[in-house]
Amino acid sequence: MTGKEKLQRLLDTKKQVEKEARWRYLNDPEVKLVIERLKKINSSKRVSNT
Amino acid sequence: MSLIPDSYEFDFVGGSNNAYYFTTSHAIVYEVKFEPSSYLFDHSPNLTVDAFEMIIAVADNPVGNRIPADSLTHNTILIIFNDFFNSHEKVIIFICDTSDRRQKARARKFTAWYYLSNGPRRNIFKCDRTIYEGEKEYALVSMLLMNEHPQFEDVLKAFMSIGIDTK
Repeated sequence: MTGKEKLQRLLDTKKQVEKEARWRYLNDPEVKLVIERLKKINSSKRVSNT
Repeated sequence: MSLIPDSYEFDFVGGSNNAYYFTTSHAIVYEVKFEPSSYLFDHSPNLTVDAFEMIIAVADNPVGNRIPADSLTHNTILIIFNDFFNSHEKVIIFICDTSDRRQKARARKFTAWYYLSNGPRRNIFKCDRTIYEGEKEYALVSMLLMNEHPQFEDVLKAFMSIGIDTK
């Protein structure tokens, strides 16, 4: 694998993860469960815009 | 998992790609992954590098447009980074592509995390490279490793030689 191919693989992996993140959130039961729990806890956290 | 002041609670789901999740007060859902990427160093056959590409993905953004500034998000990603980066042998890679011309903003953000994560320990070394395709910037790549990495100099040399000639 050349250097350019390695960098392209890094970029492709990043794009693929970004694309699949939404799918996992909507379709993976384990991920959905974790996120629903986190939403309940984190929704009331104080936000600072700094 | 841990809940500390000024950060969101997160969870490590694991799997082959070491996935962490957290949500924000705006109900934005983040996935932070550490993808194994030791192939980056295969041009140095005597070197075995425990390398991971750090990827921060938004799984859901109900706000719709630009995500509001949120220091708790910043802190949470920092805590996740420190949670994963827990051994002297690990190496973290972060790449910013140039497709939307926001690569420098992303790289600056990542650098800010680096300075914060280094904190009083100051034992994390960061190395940046800008890769060009002709005259044009192709990507910005950063590597983080601990000063105590057993093959520190060899890993650094191997990283700096990625993309040179056919390596």
